[in-house]
Amino acid sequence: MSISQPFRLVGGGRIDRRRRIDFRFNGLRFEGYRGDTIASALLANGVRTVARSIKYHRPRGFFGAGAEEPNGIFTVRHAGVEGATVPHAPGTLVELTEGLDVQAVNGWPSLRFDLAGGLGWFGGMLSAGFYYKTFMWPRSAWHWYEWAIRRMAGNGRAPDAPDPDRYDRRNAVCDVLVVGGGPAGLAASLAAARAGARVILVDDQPELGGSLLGARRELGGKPAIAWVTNCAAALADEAEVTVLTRATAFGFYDHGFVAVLERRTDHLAPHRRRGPRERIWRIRAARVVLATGATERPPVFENNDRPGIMLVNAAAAYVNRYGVAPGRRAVVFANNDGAWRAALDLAEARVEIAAIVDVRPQPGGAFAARAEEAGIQVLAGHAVVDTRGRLGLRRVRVERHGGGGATDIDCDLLAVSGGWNPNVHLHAQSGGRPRFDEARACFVPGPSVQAESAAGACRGTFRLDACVREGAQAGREAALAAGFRDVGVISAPETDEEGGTEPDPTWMVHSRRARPRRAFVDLQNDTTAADLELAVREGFESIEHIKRYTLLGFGTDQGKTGNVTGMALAAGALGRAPARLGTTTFRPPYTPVTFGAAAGLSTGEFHDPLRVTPMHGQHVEQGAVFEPVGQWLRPWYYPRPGEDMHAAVVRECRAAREGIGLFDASTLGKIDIQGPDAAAFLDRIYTNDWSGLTIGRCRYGLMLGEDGMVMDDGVTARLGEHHYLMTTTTGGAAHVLAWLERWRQTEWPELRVRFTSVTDQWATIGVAGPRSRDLVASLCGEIDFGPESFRFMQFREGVFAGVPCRIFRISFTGELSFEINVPADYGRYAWDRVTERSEEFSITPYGTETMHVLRAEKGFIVVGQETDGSVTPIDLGMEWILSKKKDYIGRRSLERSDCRRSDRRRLVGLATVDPDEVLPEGAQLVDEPFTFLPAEMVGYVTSSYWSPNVGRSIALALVSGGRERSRVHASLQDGRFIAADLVSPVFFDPRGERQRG
Amino acid sequence: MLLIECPWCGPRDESEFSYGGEAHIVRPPDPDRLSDDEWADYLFMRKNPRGRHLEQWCHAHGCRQWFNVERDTVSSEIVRVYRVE
Amino acid sequence: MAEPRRESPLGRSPAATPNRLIEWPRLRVEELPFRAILVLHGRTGVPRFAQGVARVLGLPPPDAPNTFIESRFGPEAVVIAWAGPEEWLVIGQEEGTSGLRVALRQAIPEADGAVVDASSGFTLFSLLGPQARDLIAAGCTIDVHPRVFGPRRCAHTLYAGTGVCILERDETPRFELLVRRSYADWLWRWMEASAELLAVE
Repeated sequence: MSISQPFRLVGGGRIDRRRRIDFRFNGLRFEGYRGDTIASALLANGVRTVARSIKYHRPRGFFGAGAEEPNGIFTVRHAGVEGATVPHAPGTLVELTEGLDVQAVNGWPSLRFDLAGGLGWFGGMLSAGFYYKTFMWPRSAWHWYEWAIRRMAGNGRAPDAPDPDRYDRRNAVCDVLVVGGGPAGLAASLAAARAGARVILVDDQPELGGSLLGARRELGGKPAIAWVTNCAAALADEAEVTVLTRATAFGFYDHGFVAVLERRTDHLAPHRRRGPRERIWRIRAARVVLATGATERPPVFENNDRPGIMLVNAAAAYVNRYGVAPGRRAVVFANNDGAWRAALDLAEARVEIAAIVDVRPQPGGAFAARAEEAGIQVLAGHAVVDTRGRLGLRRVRVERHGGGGATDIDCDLLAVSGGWNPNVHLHAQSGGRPRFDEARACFVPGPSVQAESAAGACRGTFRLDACVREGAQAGREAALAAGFRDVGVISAPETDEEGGTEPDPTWMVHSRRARPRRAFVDLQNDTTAADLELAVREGFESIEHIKRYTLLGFGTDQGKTGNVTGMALAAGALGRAPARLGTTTFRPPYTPVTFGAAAGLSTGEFHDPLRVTPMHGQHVEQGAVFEPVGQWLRPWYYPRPGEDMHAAVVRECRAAREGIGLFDASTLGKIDIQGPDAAAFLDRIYTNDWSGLTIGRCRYGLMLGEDGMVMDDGVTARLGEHHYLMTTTTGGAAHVLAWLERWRQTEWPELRVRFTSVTDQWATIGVAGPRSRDLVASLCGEIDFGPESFRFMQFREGVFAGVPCRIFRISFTGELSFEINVPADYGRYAWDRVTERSEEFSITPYGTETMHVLRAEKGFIVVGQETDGSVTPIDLGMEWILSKKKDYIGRRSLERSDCRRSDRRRLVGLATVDPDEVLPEGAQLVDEPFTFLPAEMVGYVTSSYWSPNVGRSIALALVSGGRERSRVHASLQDGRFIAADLVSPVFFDPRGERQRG
Repeated sequence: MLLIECPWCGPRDESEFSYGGEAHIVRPPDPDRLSDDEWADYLFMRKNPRGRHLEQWCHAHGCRQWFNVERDTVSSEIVRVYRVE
Repeated sequence: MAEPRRESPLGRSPAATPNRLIEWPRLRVEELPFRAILVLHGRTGVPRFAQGVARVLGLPPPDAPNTFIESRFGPEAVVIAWAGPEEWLVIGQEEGTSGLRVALRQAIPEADGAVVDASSGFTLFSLLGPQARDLIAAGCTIDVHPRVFGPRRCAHTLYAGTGVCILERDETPRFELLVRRSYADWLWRWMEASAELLAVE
């Protein structure tokens, strides 16, 4: 044993002793080896207390050696990289790397000295439901309680700096997914691969082997680990097999969809890390074989939580896999024969076994003789009922199971085993219902709901060769079910070891003399057996409620060691069999998933797809500030040096009415509609008449949902006899196309009409203002722009600066205006042809904010701003667009009594009494200023701007009864009220002369 | 994440589809002959079964076809898919 | 007046060499800009439509979902990709002459089908090399394994959340991704970032 690692065994283990690794724990320097975990390295250095428990602040040590670890949860940092902190990592899974800086999570103020350590003395106060009962009064004090509790309870510290690592995502499809690379999983993968199936094998450890990595077992007369090596090599040779190690299948969702977290670089020295730190695999599998093994179950007894008490197979794993003695003198307390094998492994590694304590009267099976041979004291029919040792285990008290004959045994390690809990999590997530197997005293998978099967220990099969056989059979059947050939029965190596007698289903033991008060069921949440009994006494009957009352099974470990025991104890308290009480819900994720991995690449600029128009580059060059509209990035306004938004928008608004405003309208949805029945179709979709529209003309159309509410609007042009071009709102384009397809496909398949999205095909340049005609005419010579020949709501095809174009004379500003459409490849070119005439024609580019002001000056609605899915065209004062000669979608609904109510909210204009006061959009409107609530809200502001062209503030609003009222007051969040008069929503050029000029 | 078999394109991930609610709701040929209650029944009233449900889906990011799915709302099992005829 | 200048969705000019390239030892992605792309509607069961298409392109459009055929328009290689039971995408060589569009419009009676020009509305990305499948799997749930996909297979699907059509051109593997113009720049940057993560594997 080396000085620096006093508990490191001289030989053995799967660590690389030539490669020393320095790391820090709570600021102190330690040394370990490549192949260690934080847990094995700390144990090698004799560090036993690694945490304080969350509620009672009791010292805790490592309890497990894998994903089940409830105590050793750390904030893991990498020297020099602040953002790479992981706040809650189980030390049993984090591989040791150079520069690792580990901090205990539940250690404030320190592990050794603990202000609240005395809590244990008056711990009765902190029973189940304590928080609910105590800290709810006075309610105002909760913020103080919470601060103190959280600080004492301790939590991982989230980093302040951005995460420097990258994460990505990979989709995969396979015939057979095998979860777990232990004996059953390896056999299943090989069998499926030999049948020709595409196989993915995932395992959460750095190397394949599962439980065999931590146990000294034999298969076919050879060390089982040699069999593992052979299997791994055989799988590596299969072209259609993908093996993912350090990969945890954390969620089993619908239809064979399994999510896997692969940790790719954490185990490497920082300078050797390349590519994504973690990757989420989204695997769609035709068949899934679950070979997830089992988690050892601890027995419950008084003071069963001290550092030095751990699961017996965890203790054996530290010896066999990491070459670490988890103690020098051990007592083994068990109820099953498997634990005896582990005890013998410890003995062989020169850990003194002071006693094997077994609750069964005749325990040990074939191991009993070997124990005797090794001179180990066996206390059959006995139980450990209490322990001593303030900062770590020093002594255990043993009594006859059932009472009497107490003896104390000195030891620094108590290795416990209460049997096994099959890891049925994924089976349950897939929709299966685990059932309680009385004979094996554990929950095993119930009938499969999805294309899934279980093999090995996760199915309750604990004999090694049976696990291999079952795995091979499951792999064979899975491949067969996925449509591959039958490879027949696969011969599996035998073991001569005994299966062992069935465990005694002992959940809890205690001394006759005192009811246990500190017998822990869930170590991470400090849930005791007494808490569970209390919950039952207080009337909780559902295990889901008991869980929430006692915190059983919450936390980063999700109760992997304590859940089933807790359920059984609760069932016992209720006088029911565990089978009848059932389990809580097994929800994903099986082990914690970092936010980084969940986000993958989808952060920052890649959070959501961004769409840009062909002229985006020019907008950037012109200094535009952008606003997201749906997925589009649109110029919001174009500030000049020194201008704020207000100044820029005022300037842009004036320019569009005095000179020429230039606008990128390419984002509007455009749908090409063709077919002999196109007009008939439009007649049904739009509220107004379309058959009568002549070729070369455009018309504004309004679309309703079948419920009569406004859905979308836009201008549609008739390009030819059977050919239309529909425009939609920017955000509504995809929805409208799906809407049209739905009616055509499901209701009116007889109509011959076809839709094509051409939004991306066209760049649309809008020019508005008195001089726009001269500008456009100067750029396309062939078209006659005379006011009498090219009239409002018409379009022409022609050539714009050498590019084929369509020019629409339509207006969303109320000005004389044209929209020039060119193929998008020429968008940038065409925009440049316009802007190079800027001085000559005083052209000013304007953004969406100015567009909104200009249209509001005209009282034009914006769908989604003046409407919210509950507004009819009548509410908007648009009866003129409702045809009385035909049926259309939504028409009948407008006749419903509710749509005819006279007090419905109607669109009005609002003119504030103080013309300089701009109402906040969304402000609620009341008749009179109020002092006390409730007050009757009569409407709300939908749009509100300062209008430079009207010279005052303008607003649109929906007000109950419309202009039956004359004045309302807007209620502001700061308590003020602003008076406003109800006026016509058209504030500018009410006769519409400018756009027709 | 469901795996839905488009009657044209075959099995695809749920993310490619949009949901259209209960299937086989037929628009009344002459809405004016319906009372407000009857119209509301067509408009709003939908089955919400625990178990087998006939519903419409659209392969929105694939072939853009609407089709029908019989799905178990408890297990998410898709019993059959069939075209709109 | 200057000669009208075209610009691809990635900002490339026709005469210029590729301005943006994703190049790693096992992966190469480039834009194939300015292709003639048409959306074709009709029913193959209607002879006037199927024969009309066949007269121009040599073959009627394929009936089998998720497939495309390679044919010719005069000397030009053309792809006709299934897009729906009554919809196809026709991808020709460099657009400009517009001969393809005019020829198809003339060959298909208005009552029996539709031809819509979408040459400016899409662009093509070519994905070449051993990691091309991995780059697809990074953003897409379509199974492009050789056992189920392969040359002359195509799929309209979602890639990194954007609607695309994936075509496998040969077993190199070489794929083409048909991308909507407005998404092209974002998707390209997404692929650059993904490819960088792949390249170091």
